[in-house]
Amino acid sequence: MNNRYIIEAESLTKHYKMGSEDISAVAGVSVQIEQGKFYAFVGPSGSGKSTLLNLLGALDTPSAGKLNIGGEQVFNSETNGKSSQRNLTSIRRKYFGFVFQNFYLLPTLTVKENISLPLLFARKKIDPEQIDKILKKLGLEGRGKHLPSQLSGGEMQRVAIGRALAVNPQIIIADEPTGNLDSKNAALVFEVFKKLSEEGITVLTATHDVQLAQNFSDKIVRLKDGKIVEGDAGIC
Amino acid sequence: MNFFKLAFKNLLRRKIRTILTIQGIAIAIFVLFSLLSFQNGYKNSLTREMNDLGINILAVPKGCPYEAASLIVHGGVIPKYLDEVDLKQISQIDGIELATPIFLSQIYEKDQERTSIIYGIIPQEYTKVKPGWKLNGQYFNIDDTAAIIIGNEVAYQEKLGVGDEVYFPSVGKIYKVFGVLERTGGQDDGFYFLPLAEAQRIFDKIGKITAVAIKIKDLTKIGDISKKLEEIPDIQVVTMAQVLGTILNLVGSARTLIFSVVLIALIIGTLGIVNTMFVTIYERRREIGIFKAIGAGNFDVVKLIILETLIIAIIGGIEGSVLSFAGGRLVESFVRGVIPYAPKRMLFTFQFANVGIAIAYSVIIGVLAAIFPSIKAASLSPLETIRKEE
Ligand SMILES: Nc1ncnc2c1ncn2[C@@H]1O[C@H](COP(=O)(O)OP(=O)(O)O)[C@@H](O)[C@H]1O
Ligand SMILES: [Mg+2]
Repeated sequence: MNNRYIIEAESLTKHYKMGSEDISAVAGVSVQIEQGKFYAFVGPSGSGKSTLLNLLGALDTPSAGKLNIGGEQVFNSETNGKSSQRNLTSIRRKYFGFVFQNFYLLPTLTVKENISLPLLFARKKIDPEQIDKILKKLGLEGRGKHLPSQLSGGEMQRVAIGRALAVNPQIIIADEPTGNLDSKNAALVFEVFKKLSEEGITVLTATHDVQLAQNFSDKIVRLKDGKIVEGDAGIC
Repeated sequence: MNFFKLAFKNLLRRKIRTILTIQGIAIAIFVLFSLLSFQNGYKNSLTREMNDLGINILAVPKGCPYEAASLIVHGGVIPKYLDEVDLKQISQIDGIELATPIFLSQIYEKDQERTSIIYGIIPQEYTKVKPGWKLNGQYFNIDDTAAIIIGNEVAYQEKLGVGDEVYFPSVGKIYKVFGVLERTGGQDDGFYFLPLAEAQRIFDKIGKITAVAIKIKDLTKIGDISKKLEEIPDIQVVTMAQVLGTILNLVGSARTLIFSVVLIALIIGTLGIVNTMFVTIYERRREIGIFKAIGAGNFDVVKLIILETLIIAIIGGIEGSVLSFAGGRLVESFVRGVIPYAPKRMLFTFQFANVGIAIAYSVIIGVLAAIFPSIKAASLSPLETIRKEE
């Protein structure tokens, strides 16, 4: 496999057993993610966007296929090279920052504290200058001491991005980051992602909003029924 | 930002739950604390009460009727004696604070038809087993031969005072009253007390002893010491506890009842806390998932939850201790109403060691209550908890 790619997936598959039914949420996806590019995974609801991002972000273990992250083999069903849970944690720590649709900020912590939380878990020293830089980059100057409840949805999502950035991740995974935002704030968030990718951070995002994806992302991956499809995926 | 601050802020976020959990722990600690204080206080005051009785054990000559002790206390004469060898052997037993000889006899004046009970004692020792004694005048020395101390009742009936003289015709000797005991309310009021050697001499029983009054250092060892005393061939042992025995038995069963109730309260309190911890942690699964997604390891999650629990437990433990300090008297009056024989002294004694025990207990409850659910929470994959919302 080639080192140009920060993530490489080959025939990646994820099955879910629902009673007697066997759902293939991701059905043999092969994808190569280039470093420093902004990817948008689009497709109708239930097409497997979240499942795929969870696999690529080492949040979930595949049922079959191969997965390399940063040149490290995370999973390979042929050699049974399945990462243990602990190993996934360390992979996540090493490469990823996550942004969720519902922001998931801790309501009792200030903006700055929320952003520095991953540093606590990473046992890294909290550098106030670095936090200030992040705030500035995200247009959150003067918001550092505010609580999440004092922020708008768009600001909360930018704080969540700041939190993902705190540990200097190589990759940011954002599943429907704009799902709860109005179009103006959604555009702001995508703008931030574009800027980050220009700085060399790889961004993987899932969205319904093809327009947004086309305006900001470098590459669009269309999914349908757990598979990558060329051209128009249908709904959007 | 550190783990402690994070834990603390998390607790503040669930104010009501946190406060209720703290109250639960505080009540459990209050109950535990009261139990410990009662245990201590009750034992202490009973011990003190028995100490006031002075004599813990009476060693009497073997073969005497078992009532010998009571006979001696009442001034009766027993026809058998111990000697100084026995006294020496008794004194050598570990745990005995004091063993003092008593010689007891009666002077019968035929013409007056009057019986005087004579107690030969070593006053410097005997007063230690009679801490309640108050004397007007002074004690004689052991080598005084013409000195006497009289009980209050004797002084009243014979119209004697300090400095007066007492004459026993059958002995043919005058004794000077060195001191008059204040009323004891007991048998001592009716006795004449002579120096031991003088008492032995007038009855022609030099070196003979009627009984040995024994005071021991630690009342809880009374059983062991009695057993060792019984090994001395000449003597028989009567413990004062045997006199109190019936009372103690009664108290014992009432105490068992109270303790059982308290114990049940404690168990229920503890289970309440365990339950709260389980529910709290279950409710926080998503938050835990987020923590893990942003880089927290399993150990971090366990650490955070245990830290939170410790904060709750310690605050609850301190509150419970303060509560028991303030509410101890209330419980005391309740206990007094229930227990058949309550010593006059405070039942509850506040001991700092108990604060330590109480807090240690709350910490142990807290950690035990948190450890299993937190391990379970930590073992969940972040995805499982985050996905729930969508
Ligand atoms: N934990 C799960 N258990 C069972 N089925 C699941 C689970 N997660 C996702 N699925 C199913 O997998 C398919 C893909 O879901 P998802 O990846 O969430 O799609 P998208 O994010 O594109 O809406 C859907 O049919 C969904 O019902
Ligand atoms: Mg989705």
